[in-house]
Amino acid sequence: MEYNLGQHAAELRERLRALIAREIPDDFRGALGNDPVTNEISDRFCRKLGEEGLLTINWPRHYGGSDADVWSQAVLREEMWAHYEPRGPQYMGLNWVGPAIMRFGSPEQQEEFLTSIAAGEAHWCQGFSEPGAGSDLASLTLAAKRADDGTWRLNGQKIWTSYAEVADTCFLATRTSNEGRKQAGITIFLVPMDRAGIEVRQIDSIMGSGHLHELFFEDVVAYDEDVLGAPGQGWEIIRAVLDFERVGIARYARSDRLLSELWDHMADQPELIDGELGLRHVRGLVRTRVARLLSYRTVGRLDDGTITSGDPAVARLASTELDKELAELAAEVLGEDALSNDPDAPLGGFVEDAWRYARASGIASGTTEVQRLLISRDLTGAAGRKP
Amino acid sequence: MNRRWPDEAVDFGEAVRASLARLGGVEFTRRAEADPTVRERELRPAFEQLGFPEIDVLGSPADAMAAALAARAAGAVVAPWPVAAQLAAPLGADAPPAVYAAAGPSARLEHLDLFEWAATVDLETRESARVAPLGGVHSMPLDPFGVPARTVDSNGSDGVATTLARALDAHAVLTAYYVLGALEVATDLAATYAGERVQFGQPIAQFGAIQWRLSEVVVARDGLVELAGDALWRFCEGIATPADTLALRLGMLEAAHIVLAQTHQVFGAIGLCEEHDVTVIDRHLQPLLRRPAGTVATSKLLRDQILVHGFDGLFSISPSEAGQRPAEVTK
Repeated sequence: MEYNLGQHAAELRERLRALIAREIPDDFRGALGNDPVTNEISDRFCRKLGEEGLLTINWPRHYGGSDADVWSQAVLREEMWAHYEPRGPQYMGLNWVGPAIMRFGSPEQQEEFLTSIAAGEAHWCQGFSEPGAGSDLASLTLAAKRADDGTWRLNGQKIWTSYAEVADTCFLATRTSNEGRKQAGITIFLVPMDRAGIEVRQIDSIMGSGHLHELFFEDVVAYDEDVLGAPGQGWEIIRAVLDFERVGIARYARSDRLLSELWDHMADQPELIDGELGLRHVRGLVRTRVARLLSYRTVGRLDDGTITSGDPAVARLASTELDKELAELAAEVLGEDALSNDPDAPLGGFVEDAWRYARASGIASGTTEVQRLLISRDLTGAAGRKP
Repeated sequence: MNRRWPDEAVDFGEAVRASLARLGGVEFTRRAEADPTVRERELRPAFEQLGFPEIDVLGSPADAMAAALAARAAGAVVAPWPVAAQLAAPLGADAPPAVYAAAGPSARLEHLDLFEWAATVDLETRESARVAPLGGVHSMPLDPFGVPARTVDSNGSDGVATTLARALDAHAVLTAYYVLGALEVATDLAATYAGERVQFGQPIAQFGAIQWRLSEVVVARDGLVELAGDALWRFCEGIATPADTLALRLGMLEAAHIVLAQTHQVFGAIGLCEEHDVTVIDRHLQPLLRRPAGTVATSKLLRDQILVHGFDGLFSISPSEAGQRPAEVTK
């Protein structure tokens, strides 16, 4: 029994932190679709990671990766999220687009896309959610229909798409058939975003502008070569993608950083440490440790094949609830200053950003309600499922 | 990272589980509450036969792991025995037969009547004291085996106390495993009941409100599994700080409150009955959850220890320079 990621992981963490300290400005708060400055920082950082062999460490060697063990991947996830995901949209290519193309892509697709992802030059967006298909993703309706000339025509809408403004390619889930089970009629296309008929509209949100978008497809032409896998194989691919992303974002890593910086801030004001906020803070530290350990459990079980459908949901629920709780705590500690996004504000405006972002943490990548459903069903088995 | 238990520890835990099952499981606990003497007559020989007095938790990581799974098995039937206090004690003729956690002078300790004397170690100061029972069990519903205690003398912080301070860490870990064992059973009972109980024509497990409660229970239970494992590892490695020990206690308390409250609610009225195990589990855990420090008191102790020792994490908190608050301490 050992609850330690080991020396190799510790060295990797140190190396990543040194690189981040050199390459990422202190006030970096993530790469946004509509901000060329942060996008350039992100692109430069990815190229640097690529040069140092750190960009695709999770990939198999024969695809240019390092076959890094799951704990190195965990460290990478933690350090990236704790430092506002400096890889920007490219994390998608590394984490799940690339692996999906490795498994389902044609040799031509592998040649075209894997090379650019590994070079830190590919920007993807995910076209999954629709206005009528959120948690119930299999209900998606964006239509891909055969035209008389043998090509495809894409018509419909996607929503909540991150990084759509900077994406080169969309990993697009479409409906190619309404026959049989709704899961059976889904097909994935890899669609260049500069194709005629695609319109990107920004959605201003509480997280700020540049986070969310709508995509409109109007008679967009697609080809058989754009199809990933086979027509109708989309649901299998989506499930594989969800599997690649099962461990999820290391939200607890940013929580850990927030609590550490918050403690330093509170240490200058003993009345804060002594009062209720001090007690809430230390409870937050314990919950953060728990969330991290639950995530490690998911990683370990994924690695040894003992994972259940409830395991990742437990880790996610612990992390997302923590995110919200700590954002509220930090805002209470800062009082009125929590409203300020000025880099001169306490904690560099970190708290204002954390609070806004926390509003999304139980919604993005699978809602809290879906996680609870998965956990409960995992516990009660068939009895928890509707006939 | 390796979450696997050694086979020997697993085997020992199963042996304890089987032994307690032979005595009657939770039913034995009910019997002991009605007649505390069955602890001496039946449980002490069973535990001695299993080798409890020879387990060297403080000296051997393998023994510590075996003890943890023994405590988990004991907790599964809320065995009426101070498992953590006994197993955390150092070995040796002059050593205390049991070590309890304290927060100030101890007025009552569970099962103290089973020993002529015992040691307490203060969660705040880590100083130890000798305590002795004042008579036998004075049973109350939420303190079924509470025994009035008197302090014989205080040892202070000498060499013996250093060993006992480590025993305090062991006590926290083993208490967490005992509580975990109980929470696991409460969870399983609630899950089974939710699948069997039919209302409005369907198992209540299919209702969102019940699913919400069950998901709370699972996250709390699983969180304690991991936190306890991490704390046990830190203890075995000799790197556990007083802050780690208190963090475990706080995590244990929060998990217990969630699991016990939510499972009761899933059961509805039936879960309130004494014939139902969840009520026995709930009542019998309360002394471990309230004594020597509840959630708020433990949070305060943890805060103070973080100031002295810092807190290990991805972005660790450093100890404050003077080992306490920068300005005047206000309590």
